[in-house]
Amino acid sequence: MDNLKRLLAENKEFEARLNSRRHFLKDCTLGLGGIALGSLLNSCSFDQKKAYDYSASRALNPMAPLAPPLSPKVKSVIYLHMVGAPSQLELFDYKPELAKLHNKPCPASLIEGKEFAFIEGVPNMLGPQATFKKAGDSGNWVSNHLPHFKNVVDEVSFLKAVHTDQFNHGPAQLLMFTGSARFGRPSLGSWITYGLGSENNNLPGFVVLTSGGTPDAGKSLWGNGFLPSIYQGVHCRSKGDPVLYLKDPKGISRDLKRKVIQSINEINYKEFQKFKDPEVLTRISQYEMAYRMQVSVPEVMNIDDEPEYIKEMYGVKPGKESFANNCLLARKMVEKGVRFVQLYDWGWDSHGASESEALSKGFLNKCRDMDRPVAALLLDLKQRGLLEDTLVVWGGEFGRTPMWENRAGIQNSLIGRDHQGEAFTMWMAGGGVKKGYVHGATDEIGFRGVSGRVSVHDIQATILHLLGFDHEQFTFDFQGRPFRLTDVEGRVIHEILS
Amino acid sequence: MDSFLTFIGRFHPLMVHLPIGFILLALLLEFSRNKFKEAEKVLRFIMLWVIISGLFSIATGYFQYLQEGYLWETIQAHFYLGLITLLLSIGFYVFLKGGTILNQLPRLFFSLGLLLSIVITGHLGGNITHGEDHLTEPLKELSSTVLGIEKEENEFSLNEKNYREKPIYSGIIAPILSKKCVSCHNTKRTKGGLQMHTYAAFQKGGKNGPIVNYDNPELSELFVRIHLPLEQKKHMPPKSKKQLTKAEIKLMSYWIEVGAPEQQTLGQIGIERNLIEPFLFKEEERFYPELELDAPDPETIKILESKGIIVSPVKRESNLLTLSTLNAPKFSVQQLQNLEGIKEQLVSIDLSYSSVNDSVFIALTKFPNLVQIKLNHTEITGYGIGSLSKLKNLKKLYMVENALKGSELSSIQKFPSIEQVFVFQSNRNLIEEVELTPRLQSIIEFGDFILPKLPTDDVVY
Repeated sequence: MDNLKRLLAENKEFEARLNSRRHFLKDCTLGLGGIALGSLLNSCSFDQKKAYDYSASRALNPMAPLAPPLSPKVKSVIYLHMVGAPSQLELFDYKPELAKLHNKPCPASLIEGKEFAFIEGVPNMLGPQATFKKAGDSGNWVSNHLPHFKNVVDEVSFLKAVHTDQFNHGPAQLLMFTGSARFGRPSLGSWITYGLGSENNNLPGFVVLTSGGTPDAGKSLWGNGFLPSIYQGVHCRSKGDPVLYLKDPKGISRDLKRKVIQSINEINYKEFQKFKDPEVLTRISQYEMAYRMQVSVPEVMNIDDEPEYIKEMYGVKPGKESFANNCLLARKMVEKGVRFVQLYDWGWDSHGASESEALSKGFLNKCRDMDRPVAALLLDLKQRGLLEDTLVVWGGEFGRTPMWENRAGIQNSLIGRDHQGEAFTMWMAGGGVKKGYVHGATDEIGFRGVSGRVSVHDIQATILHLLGFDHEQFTFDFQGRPFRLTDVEGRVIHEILS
Repeated sequence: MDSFLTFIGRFHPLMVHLPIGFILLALLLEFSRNKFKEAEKVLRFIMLWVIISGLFSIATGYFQYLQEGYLWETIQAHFYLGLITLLLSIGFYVFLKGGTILNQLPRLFFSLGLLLSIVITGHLGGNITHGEDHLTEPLKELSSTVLGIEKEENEFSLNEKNYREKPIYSGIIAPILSKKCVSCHNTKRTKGGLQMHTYAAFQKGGKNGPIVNYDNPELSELFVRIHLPLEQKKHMPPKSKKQLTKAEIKLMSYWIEVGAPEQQTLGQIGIERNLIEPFLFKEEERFYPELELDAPDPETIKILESKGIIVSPVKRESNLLTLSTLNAPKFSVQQLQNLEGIKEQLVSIDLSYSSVNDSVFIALTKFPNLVQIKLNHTEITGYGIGSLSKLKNLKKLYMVENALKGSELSSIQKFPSIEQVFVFQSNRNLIEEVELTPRLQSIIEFGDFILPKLPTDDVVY
């Protein structure tokens, strides 16, 4: 024991010797200098009033709302994506010349050196499978498949010559929503919630609603890529539980759950203070969000309380999964401050290979189910003043050929068209966008854009512009370099901006 | 050798400060020489160094003139005055030594002469490096803010309507050149022997000949240099200067490709719209007024945020604020008093889904700069809405889904700046309760849209 005491005493003495005057002079001068420099630098800006740091709340809540760098025109986005690529030639891009070529062989000059998803050899041309009329005060063309849309045609700006370099669904969808045809990039909605946060504490900032099926590229379309995972889209089901695993388990009261989550979060926060990993914060806020969502999501996802005539206007199908329900939900969510609502409606891949894929059958059913809800959505947003600060985008991942698809060289038994990336139609409506306007045009048969061509990156740049971002400045550092949604391309389509 | 001389020449701006400092020191000593015993000796010593450093300054200055493309006219006054300063210094040094003819001159001749010549020489030198209006520029800005003279906002006078009639050179190329090129390529400073301040001078080219190659536009010196990577020595404008924007590079390239014409108008050339787009002046109507306001009180914002109220500037770095009570459904009219610290800055307020009642209208008049008010999904009936006419900037008013009475709406037409009012009610047709005037009809959006049922709605194909 004595030995031990002696050893301890020796150790103390040894340590004390280290803390000598010399040690102070040698080791601490740098520190003292630093302190002096620090106060010196501080004193340079003594009379500056400290501005409020709006981003401070982000440290605890990664979804806290942030102002955009430039003046925004809109606060929210509703993106209506028709999965499978609807035929522009049967909806908006009126080509009377194409009718004259109907069922005649396609000129070799058109297909030489071209690659198609299914067309082989020489296909026949396929005239428009619709009748067109000028609609609204703007007199823009709308086909007979969209009778309700004619009521809102004066609200939208058409982009008639959009082009993409992908001709398969998955990659084209990825390009449309992440800016790259390959996996791994954050989606449009993730970028936007990362940049702007979300206003409603009790609802996710980026909601995804699907109807008809899951898009080909899967959940990467609303993935967060390399952004913190809090920014990924929350996929809500419009049938049954809106979000899975949100209900309290049997025998667990809400109070008990609250306590459990609190304890877990306290442990997690200690973890965060130690390692500063943003993913821990994500986890904390997701637990809290899930707890709050238990009450607020069923409320916002419940369309039963809507007046009967509103439900009729949209053509909702209570208790079922439908595009109409999703459109009504989109309005309800935007009204409650959700930043980005993404709708995917599956089933627009009209090859003519089966009845559901035929322009003469399945396509018409899709048009009927899409037409009324979209028109209703625009009108409903408009009457509530929501269209003033919401952007509505409609489109597919590409367009369809003016040729009748001949899979494996034999003309399909039913009427259908193959994939076409060279030219297709999209439209935008809402704050900051011209009303009743057309930008771009295709050639006589709708095969190529001849003026006002815009790329997928142009569309993304324009969406970001309307939300108050310069798409070239809006970056996230990853793997040693800054990344952008629009990669190294993209031009804001000023022509359609009001 | 050339680059060595350039190197030496670049020391000129550094070197000149030595004689300036020495002379000023000498003058200080000169004017209080009675206080010091050895003043004369020290003065002589300083003046010797004035002469030495002065010689170096003039030499480096001369090299710089030779190497960096300054015109003789630009620097001649500066050069001569520099020489005079040197001669005066030598004279003063000799005077101090005594015993020459110079001693018959009054002592003040040298000291005052030196003071005058060093100030003027220095000023002229400054003008050469920083530009002639360098000193007076801030004064101009000062006077324009004091006198309320507006600065010219758009150097391109192009807009949607007139751009086709404007000559390409004077309309758009010249403004770009004068912004990004002319400061080094003009009559005073002619780097590389090139002047770009007029079309004729531009056509002449630089010391290596014309900079536009009409046969092979893409090999034009100008074309090549603006496209070189920034790191390249020959890249123009030089790395340290303000760069051409992407849109400017595209437009300049286009101009060179079509043969760098002067008189042809943009319409005649048939320029593509997207090339010219970034240069068009758009009369953008600003939704929020441009107000010079102090930063809002940070304490107020902190308190509001702790209560779940969202306070956010309209855009980053702006002092105009928006406020939303979306996450604070219990927010009541009394709590508007907590907003005293951001009273001026508040331009948009969203009290939708909150617990405010009709007393909100009077309470809101305390915020003079409100442009937008949202009172959707609240209990308001519209009683007292007339007091909002005090808000001079109020443009948009949202009162959707509440207990609004149509009879209260008529006072809206007296609001000075009102543009749009949304009053849609899903449970009743409010329009039937309002005595509509044409003015009211143009402002108020009643909604109540319906989509009539069509036979095709139920067809299953």
